[in-house]
Parts: sequence; C-alpha cells; structure tokens
Amino acid sequence: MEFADYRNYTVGDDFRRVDWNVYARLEKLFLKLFVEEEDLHVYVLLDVSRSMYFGTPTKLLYGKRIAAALSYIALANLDRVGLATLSGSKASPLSLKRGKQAAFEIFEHLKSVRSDGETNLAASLREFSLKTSQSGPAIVISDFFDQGYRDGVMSLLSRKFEVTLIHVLDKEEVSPALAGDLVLIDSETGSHREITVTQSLLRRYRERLASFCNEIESFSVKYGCNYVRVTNESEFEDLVLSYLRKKRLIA
Amino acid sequence: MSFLSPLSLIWFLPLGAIIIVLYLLKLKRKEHLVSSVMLWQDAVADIQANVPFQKLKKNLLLVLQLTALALLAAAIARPFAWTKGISENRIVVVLDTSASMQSTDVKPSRFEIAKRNAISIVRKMGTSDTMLVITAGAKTRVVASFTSDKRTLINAISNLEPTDTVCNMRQALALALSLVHGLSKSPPRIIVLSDGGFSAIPDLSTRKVKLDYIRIGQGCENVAITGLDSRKTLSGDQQVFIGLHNFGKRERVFNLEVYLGTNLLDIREEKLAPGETKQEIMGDLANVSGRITAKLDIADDLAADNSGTVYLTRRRTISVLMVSKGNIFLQNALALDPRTQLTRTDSPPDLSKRRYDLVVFDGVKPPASLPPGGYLLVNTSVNGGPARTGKIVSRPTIVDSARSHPTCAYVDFSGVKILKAHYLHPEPWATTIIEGEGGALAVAGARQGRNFVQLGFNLLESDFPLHVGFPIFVANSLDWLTPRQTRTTGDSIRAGQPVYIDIPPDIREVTITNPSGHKQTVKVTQTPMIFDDTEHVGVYRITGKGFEREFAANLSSSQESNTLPKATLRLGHRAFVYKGESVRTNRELYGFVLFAVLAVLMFEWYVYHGRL
Repeated sequence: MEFADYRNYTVGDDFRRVDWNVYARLEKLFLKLFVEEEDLHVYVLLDVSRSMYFGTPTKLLYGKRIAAALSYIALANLDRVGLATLSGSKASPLSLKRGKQAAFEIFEHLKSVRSDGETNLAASLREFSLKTSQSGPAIVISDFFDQGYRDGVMSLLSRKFEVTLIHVLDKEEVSPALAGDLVLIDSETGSHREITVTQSLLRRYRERLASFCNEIESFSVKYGCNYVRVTNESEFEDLVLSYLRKKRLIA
Repeated sequence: MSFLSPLSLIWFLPLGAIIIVLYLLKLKRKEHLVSSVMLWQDAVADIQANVPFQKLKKNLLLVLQLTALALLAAAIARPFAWTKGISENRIVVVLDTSASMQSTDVKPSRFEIAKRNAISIVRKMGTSDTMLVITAGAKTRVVASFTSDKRTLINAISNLEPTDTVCNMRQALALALSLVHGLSKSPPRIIVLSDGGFSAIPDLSTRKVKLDYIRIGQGCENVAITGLDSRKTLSGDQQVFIGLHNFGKRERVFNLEVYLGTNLLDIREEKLAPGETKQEIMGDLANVSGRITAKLDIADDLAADNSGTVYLTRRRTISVLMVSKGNIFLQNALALDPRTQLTRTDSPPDLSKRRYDLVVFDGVKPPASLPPGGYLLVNTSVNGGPARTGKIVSRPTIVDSARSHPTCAYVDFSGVKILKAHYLHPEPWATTIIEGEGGALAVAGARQGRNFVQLGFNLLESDFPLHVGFPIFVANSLDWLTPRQTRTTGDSIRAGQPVYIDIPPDIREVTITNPSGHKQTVKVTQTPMIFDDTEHVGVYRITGKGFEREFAANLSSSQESNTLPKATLRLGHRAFVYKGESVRTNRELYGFVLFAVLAVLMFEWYVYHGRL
C-alpha cells in the first residue's frame, strides 16, 4: 500500500482512515487515500494459424519477435506475462510468468511454436477469456483474416481486458505482384479462386484491403482498443522502440 | 480499298479455327498460394458486378488474336487503295525545261511548280518503285537514271534549272518509251510535267505504257519578239526586221528599244491588241556594224522573249586571185559578186608574199605548199588537197549532187554535159559534191585552215558555164571558201542550237563566256568549232589568243512565247487530258496492315500480362 492523496471526510467514511495528525493541526477531518500496488497481468496472444506462416520474413516470425519483445518489457517491469497461441478455435496459454528469468522460458516456447490450423479468433479469444481469471492488458497479434475477430475481441472486453490489436501484414498482401491467369490457393483452407489479374482487379484488391484495415481500426476506436498496423518489411527495432511507444503501447 | 490477291484471305478460316480450338481447350492457370483468399473474393465479386463487360474482357485475348490473324490474312491478300500517289515498278518523270516553263503566271514560276510536283511524286513512291527523270528542252537529258533512292532523285530534281530553248518533247518521250519498254511486269508509267508548249507528236505510240499529263500553268499574258533578222538590200543598205506578237488577252502598250551595242539607237511606242502581230523594220543602217539588240520595256509572264540580238556588218571586199590561161565564164562569174576584187595571172604566184582570200587554180598546178585560205581547183589537184585525180573518162554522166552542201544550194546539175573528166578520189575529210557514174567529179573539204572546192573537169570542156546554176555555184563556193570574209562579225542563233565558230588555226583553246557571266574553256579540235551549250538567251563571248568574237542566242519561237498551257497532250492517236495535279493510282497498304498486326499483338501481350 502506498499513500496517494487526501480527501475531505464525508458521512459514512471509515474513521480508521482519518489522519488524526492533520486534524490536530487543522481541526478538519481528512481521509488518507492509498493506492494498492498490484502485479499487472499482461497477456500476449499470438495468432499461429497457417495464414501467419506467409511472407518473408513470415508474419509468424515477425509476430513472435513482437511477442518476445513485449513479454520481455513486461517482465522487466515486474509484471506477470501470460503468453497464449491462437490456432483454430483453441487458445493455448502458457502459465503466467514473472521475473526477467522467465523471459527465456517464453522465448523457448515461442521458438517451438509452429503454425497450424485456421484462424478462428471468435472462438479462440472467447476460450482464452473464459480460461483466464485475472484480467489485464491483452495484446492480440494476428493478420485478422477472419471476420469473427469482432466477437473474439468483444469476449475479451467483456472480461475487462485492455485490448491492443497488432495487425501484421505481409508486403505481398499490401501490394501483390501478380499477373496473368491464376488460381489462388488459400493457405489455411486450401480453397481455390480463379482470377485474371488486371490493373482494375489489383486496384480493387488494394481498395478492399484498405477498407478491411479501416474496419478493424474503427472497431478498435469504438471499443477503446489500441490498434497498430505493421508490415513485415518494417524494421523491427523501429517498431518496438519508436512506433509502439508513439502509440502509448509501452511507456 | 481492294485486294490484289483476294484468295489469300481464305487463310483466315483454318488458322482462325485453330486459334478458337486452342482457346476452347482452356488454358492451365498457374497456381499461386496466398495467405487468404478472403480479400480477393471480395475484390473479384466487385469486379464481376459488371458481368457483360467481364465476359468481353475474358474473351478479349481471343478477339485480339483473331483480329491479328485477320489483319495478317489481309496483308497477304495485298490490299491497296486508290490514292493520289504513285505505285508502279518503273516510273519516268519527263520535266519540261523549255523557256515557256519560266512563265510566272503561277508563283514562283511554272518550272518551280513542276519541280515541286516531281518531288511530291518522288515522296509518294512505293518502296519497290524505281524512277527515272528526263528533262525535255531543246536537248533531252537523263538527270537521274532508274533508282529507288528518293534522296538522289530529289537532289537531281532540285538542282534542275530551266532553259531558254524550245521543247523537244518528242525526243524526250521517245527516249522515255524506249527506256521503259519491256522492263516491267506491270505497265510502266510516264508522267509528263509540262505546260504543253510543244507540237503534237503523231508518230509515237505509248503501247502499254500509262501516261499522265500534269499541266503546269494557268494563263498567258505575254508579249514577245517572235522574229529578229537582218538583211542587206541590193542597194547596199542594211535592215533589221523585228516581229512582235501579243499572246495575251489584253491590249498592251510598251516601248520597243533598239540598241547598237549599249547605245540606244531607236525607241518606238508599240500598241498591240490581243493576238495582234506587228512587224517593225529599221533601215538606214548601211554603215552600221555591230550588235543590234531589241528590247521590249514590258512586264509580262515570260522575260526570255523580251529581247533579241542580231549582228550587222559592213560590206567587205574579198580578194580573189585567178590563176588561169583564160576562162571568161569563170572570171565573169567571180566578178559578179560586188564584194570581189579579182586579180588574174597566168603562172603560179608566190603566195607567201601576198595573202588572198580566195585563189582559183584553173588548169594550173598550184605550188606544193599553200597558206591558209580558200582554194578553188578546176581540173587540177594539189598535195594535201581534198582529192587525188584518178583515171580520165569521157562523157561522164552526173548521177547525183550533194544538195545539202552549201556549195550546191539551188544548183541543178542534171543537164550538165561534160566532154572529158578526171574521176576524183576524195580524202576521208572531204565531201563529194558532184557524183559521176564511176566516181566523184567534184569534192569539197576543209582542213587546217584551208578550204577547198575541187572540180575534176575543165569548165571549158563542159556546158556547165552555160547553165543557170553556174554563177550560183560560183557564188556559193565563194561564200563557203571565204567564211571569215563573208560572215558577219557575229552570229545570232536560236537558243539551244549549235553554233559553228571559225577559229584561226593557231588557236588551240578558247574561253566562252555565257550571258550570265559563266566562263568555260574549250579546246579547239576542229574548225569551224561546234559549240552547243547555248541554252540561255543573250550574248556569248568567245576569246582566245588575239581572237575575239561573239554570238547571240535568241528565243524567237512563237510556240514557246505562246505560254497558254494546253489541256491535252497528243501522242500518236491518243489524247491525254490533264485531270488535275495529282496522279490517281493504286497504293499497296500491306505495310500499314502489318504494322497494325504488330500493334494488335503488342496490345494482346499487354492484356495477357494483366496490365489492363
């Protein structure tokens, strides 16, 4: 417990909190206010679906680096860090870690993580929110190629998590260098889509991507979440040291 | 547009069918792994909203490939269009360079317009065409032989200059026809760029050759000196005759100025109605010698015919030595000419002491060496003379005479009877002027400054002196044998005609200055020297070592001065009518079509790689 401030006494206040020394000097009743120092529970949720295993470097690797960096920062700040991977409808949380030494455990775990399954943020985030008793900041690192992300985030918000969405995109997804007649194969579902790449189609795709990103950002603003969009071509050091600080994700 | 080989279009059917079949066998698309097709699905769904357009786009490649094939088949079928240009294998351009082409009724002049037309024709030539350029003045010249090099042709045409001569179109067309005959699979084409200022050509046929007549010029406002001559009257006076004609459509008033050298001799105001001809005669010129120039002070379409030059000369004496035992007929005939100063002797004289213009050896053997001059040898011969004497024949019959030779002009030898004569063996440089049954009876020739007329019979042993032709023959011989004495101080000729210039034998080189001041040095290889570079009107000066003469070239041609362009060119039995400045012909377009094929294929490539 740590002293924070004074406030005037009002009827019904606990007499034990009255600062009698001040009363002796001023003959006025003031209550001492204290702030309880708690361990912060920081949750890093990494999407490891197959769509994340895409790009150079892969979005997954980029996400792992972000997760590792944020975990280390939290551990260095004496916070508790809970890492969870999201794959399909499952959330696989690692037990809460504390102390800088735990960083290596987290790094080792991140190393061992392999991409698998489809993206189903609605189910996986719901599962995570139900499994986790203690709320705190929850950082979701994903490409959000799943329309169910809203439900998932809403599950977290309902359990009082302070949600931050880190949207990782590959440069190939931002401006695809495609030409000719192609069959596009979805890396998660394996579904096919025949397209004839034309300038208008590429333009349309870029418009659709921009609108998709704007939707996520609008949603975040609406529900008080942080939203950070990065591509795997951004320098990782710049991202952590400058961009996330600018976004007040880290102090 | 039409096709030269329309059957080739059939190629489109099998090849088009192959393309369609290949297109039906759907192309294998390249597989491409993406993280998620979610966004692509949305994008494609948006695009597919406009389905008809998408259908068209889907088949755009097929449409483009079929279009390229159709164009290729069309190119093989050799499309052509009727254009205002030229597309023949062989083309001959005949450009009129005569004086009338200098008319300024069209600006800057007819000749410049004709050149521009010719250059325009060159520029429109097909790549496989070859062209020849001929100029038609008094002389016909090939200025560019058959070539497809447009630069060479344009340079050759650009460097052409008009002349002040008449147009000998017959010669030019005869040359053009002979050059194109049988050389080309497709009918060759002759294009005549002219104002039609030449006479009809009835004796030429175009056969299978196409001929286009491009008329140059619009109208005629021209007054000309159509005739200019001088003559001596029997009374010893000299007269200058000047013929004037107004070829224009309006009355013209102007001054006729006559100069002696550079001094104004006379000036007369003239008034000529349209089409009117007028003659002016100037007399009282007995003692005048020199160059007479007539000038019209008038601004009209053609300047070349506004001046003319003739030469007057005072009468001079001809010193004649007659070496004879006695021949009254010959003596009287020689004395008839008032110019002669006759001396008679019996024995051969020493010619080195005194020079005579003419020496007559009548039955007397001349000395071995003769100085330059004229020699009439009657019944005798000389070493270095025009003929050696042969066998004697009695009563030879005259079978022919050289009527074109100046000595035989207006002389009839048909009734002449000769008792006895030597047949003559003429030298290669001599001409037989009277031909007997078995050989020459009289010859004439000039060599090394000596002019000879040699008769192989004694005049007194024939009845020739009793014939009317005898004094004429003697007078002709007198003129021909003494050219320097009988000719005037200068000659006037028609521009473009050759001029004969008597050059003293010791002069080997002369310089000729033309009217524009251009000088050219000419080597003298014979006398009289023939000079034919006389295509411009004006005074030409000939200078050599201690020698100076001049002559003048005049246009003096009603045909050229009448500059009204003619709408029809008559050749053989055909009349070629001017149809407008441009020549209508078929121009092959396969080059453009192939270019279109390339463009379509490039567009197809662009579409194929998804840039559209």
